[in-house]
Amino acid sequence: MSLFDKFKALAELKKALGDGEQLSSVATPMDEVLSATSAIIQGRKVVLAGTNNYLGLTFDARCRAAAIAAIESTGTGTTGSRMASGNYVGHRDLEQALAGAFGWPSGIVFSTGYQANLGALSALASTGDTLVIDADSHASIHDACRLSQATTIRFRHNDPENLDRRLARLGPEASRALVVVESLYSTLGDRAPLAEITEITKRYGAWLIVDEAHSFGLFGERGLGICEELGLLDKVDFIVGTFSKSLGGVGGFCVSRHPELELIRMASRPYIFTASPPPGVIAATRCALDCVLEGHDLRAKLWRHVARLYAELERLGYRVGTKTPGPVAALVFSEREEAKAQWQGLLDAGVYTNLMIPPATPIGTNIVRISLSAAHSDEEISHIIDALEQLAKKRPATAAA
Amino acid sequence: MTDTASTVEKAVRAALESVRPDAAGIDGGTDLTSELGLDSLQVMDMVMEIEDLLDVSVPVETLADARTLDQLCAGIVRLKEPKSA
Repeated sequence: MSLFDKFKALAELKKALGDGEQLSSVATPMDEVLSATSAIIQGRKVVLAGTNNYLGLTFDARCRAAAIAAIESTGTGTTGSRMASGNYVGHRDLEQALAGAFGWPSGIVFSTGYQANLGALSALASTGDTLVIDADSHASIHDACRLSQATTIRFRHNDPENLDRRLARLGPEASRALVVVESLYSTLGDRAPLAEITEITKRYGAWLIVDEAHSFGLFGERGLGICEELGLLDKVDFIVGTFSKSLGGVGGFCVSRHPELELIRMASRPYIFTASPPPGVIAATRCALDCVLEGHDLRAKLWRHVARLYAELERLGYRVGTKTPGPVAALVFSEREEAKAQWQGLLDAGVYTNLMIPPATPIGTNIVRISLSAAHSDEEISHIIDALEQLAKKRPATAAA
Repeated sequence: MTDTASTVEKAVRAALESVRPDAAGIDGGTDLTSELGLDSLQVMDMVMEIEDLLDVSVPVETLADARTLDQLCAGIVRLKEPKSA
């Protein structure tokens, strides 16, 4: 017996997804990153259509300059927790700017997006409380539930009626329940029925936290996310988000209408027992936040690309995870080999995407996920569509949806 | 066996059969994942079915403690009994 015996199945899976001479679809090595939308993989230039760089801000000149200036003035890292020596003016300024953008009194920065969910959920809900989560929640939400001392109940994905029944069963205890949803689920690109969810949550006197990881920067007049776009911000208690998607950095945040959110700083282990984000990341993110708030042109460009890609996918007969166009287009295949061939075919044509397979996907689906960016040029979108068209022509007629 | 225990076992077996028709009549001591081979998604579908049949919410923690059908039934009985007592 060995500690490593339990990894045998995973090792076989990794081999099946590409190993040795074959390029791996898992942790595909990038030799060089050239821009927000292009890189060198295996010596060849490819269009990046599998990042979360929705606004292309990783290479924005202002954000890069802000990061460099902060490193020059403040150093490469903080080497301390926010609770100790890592509480710089930049962290506090970014928190105020984030909370201020929502018109709310409280905002907390975490060191990663994963830790934002871990830190907020595990501290907000504790012994005697209930976390009521969508069954298709991101791993960070499931892990937060494990770390929390609260009781965790799942409801069927995007099913308000199923949520309603679970809150009804809680009775008066619903006032100590925190409902957790994502506004946009990144695997299939589908959105939560937030109008119904907010109504049900309020009816039972429960609390609501919405994860806008994949929608912050892209939806709403000021880019605050789908809650802003739907005019639901006054019905939401907490919003969590990440710096590592549209904001182009790394880190995460939780903002709230409740000033008491501040109290979790004293209790949230993922907030306390880790170093704070480095000054360069904080400065670039602060700059990127302004780009988001004023980013109408970036959003308009991204949505133009989205409309074009979704129209072409329909014309080409691809089965897509959702009919509602969004920055994520999930090509769905019933067979893993079919999805892998599509991923490889796109890469061979110079387009990098993401291959996702069970158990990381909803039941029975194998996905090639395409993510678009405002930084893509019209020519790059044409390149992606040409590659998709060539592969669609090669597919057997039965494979088309 | 109490009425609650019998109702729970009936519902759990019905829910199991809905996700794995070939699992009808399995021994209560069968390990649901390592022996029967249920994956996490099948377990979740089964639990959702149980919740609807019994009008009870089954916390994730109850599932984590239950490896076999009998253990799952016992965990759900514990959830139901405080309220019916």
